[in-house]
Amino acid sequence: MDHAVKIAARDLTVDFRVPAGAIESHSEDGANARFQQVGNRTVLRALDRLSFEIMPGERVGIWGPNGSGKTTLLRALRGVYSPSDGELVVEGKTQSFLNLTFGLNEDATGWENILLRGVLMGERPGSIRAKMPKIAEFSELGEFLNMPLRSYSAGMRMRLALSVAMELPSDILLMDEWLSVGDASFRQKAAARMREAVEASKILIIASHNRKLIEGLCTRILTLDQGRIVSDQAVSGETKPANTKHRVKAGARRVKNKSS
Amino acid sequence: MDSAIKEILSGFADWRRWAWLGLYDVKLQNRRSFVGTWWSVLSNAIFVFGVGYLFSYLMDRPIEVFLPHIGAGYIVWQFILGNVSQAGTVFVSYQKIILEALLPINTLILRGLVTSAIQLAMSAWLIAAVLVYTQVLPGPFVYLALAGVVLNLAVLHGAMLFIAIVSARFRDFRHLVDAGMRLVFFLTPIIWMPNPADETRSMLMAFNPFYYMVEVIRAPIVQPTVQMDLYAIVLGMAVFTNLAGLVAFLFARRRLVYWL
Repeated sequence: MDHAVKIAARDLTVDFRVPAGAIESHSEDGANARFQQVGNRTVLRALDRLSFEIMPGERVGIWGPNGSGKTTLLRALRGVYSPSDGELVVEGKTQSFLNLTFGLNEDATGWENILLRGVLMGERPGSIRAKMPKIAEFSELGEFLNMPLRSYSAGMRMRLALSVAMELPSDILLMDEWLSVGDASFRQKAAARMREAVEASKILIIASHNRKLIEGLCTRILTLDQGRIVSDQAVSGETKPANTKHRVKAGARRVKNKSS
Repeated sequence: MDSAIKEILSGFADWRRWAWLGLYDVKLQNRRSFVGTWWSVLSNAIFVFGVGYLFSYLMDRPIEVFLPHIGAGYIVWQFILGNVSQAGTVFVSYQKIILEALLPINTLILRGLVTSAIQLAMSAWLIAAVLVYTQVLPGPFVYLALAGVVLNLAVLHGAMLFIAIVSARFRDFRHLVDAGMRLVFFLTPIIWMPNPADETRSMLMAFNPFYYMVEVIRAPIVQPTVQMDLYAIVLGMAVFTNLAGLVAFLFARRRLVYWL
């Protein structure tokens, strides 16, 4: 991989418009502070001026309570949400594993769902077919792959979807939460596989509330709360001070996302 | 503007993905039913023969004229209706895919068009059966019906893009479309026949875009002559709907993900 892989965010902000009148008051306490007035619009500030850089080889855990902006950040990195303000540069091909069930068909077998999911994620049917034995082996689902998805437990679905995601080419793998659905042995195996895959030139970003899980897997943890980064620490223990600069400047809106 | 057009063109270029997904949808539909995908043909057959005989009697038309008219007309209508009403829910029901997979906007629409084109091809057997049953020979230019199908697909691509985008923003829109389509069915000469001597009937047809969409496929099957103006009108409609779809897309491009 000779092209650059890198993520750089400067004051990355993502706002969701809120219908006029839905918010009764603007107060500063607790979750209410997320609703802000921008010009004459009320917005939900999902991500509030995040600044960070992620270099190749890093495995970054995003940790924080419900509604702290973890998934929104992953979607912004994927290129689904473009920055409302600030700048985000993503260099490299992203691949995501945000939603466990998307693209899957309940009546189709495991094999067919591997194909469906793979094609939706941008693979050619032929190339995903060639990868099927590896995907099947990693999933450890055995004969269940001949059964319709209806008969799968949540953990088995996760295995299927994750095994597909692992085989898709990417420089930056974005994952949400789902690893925690798996049992301990599969979790360890998947974690080992991710460590190996990320090794030198790739980036892994995984969001979870499960502190233990990401401490075991990641080299760095970004802690989010109320849409802001409250700490940015290396897993070895040393804490970098969080970037708390409050600059409100209309920045360039740029997402360089090479993913398909 | 440029990048919006590029995205739509890249949607077309990615034909392996949507063609495969559309085919696979046909395969997976009604998996657990014995008649499976042929149900759509069977239910069309029940309607065509039942209503065909009833209206041929009520309107005093010979069955060998009326049955091919309603047979071809109703099948084409079901094809148009299926696509138009599907468009109203496509982005909402595939929300999970859109929020993760970074597909070009029209991929899911083309996927639906492939599925319905396959069903239309399957229903061609029903048209053949009607012609055999009534012992009517198809017109000498029957192959031009294929050109009509292609033109219909072009019109529908733009129309569906427009309806899908507007319905994602205004959830009432699709109900309005559904209600409108129910009325249009009766305004279009499918269960009644054109009569040049009847001015009201001719007016209903002249100002009804759906008449041209149906007729451009039906005419070569049941009539001995070619009507060139039909092709020009439907081609014009295709340009118009695709421009409308493009304008809606230009407006919705950055906003669509926030509406879902």
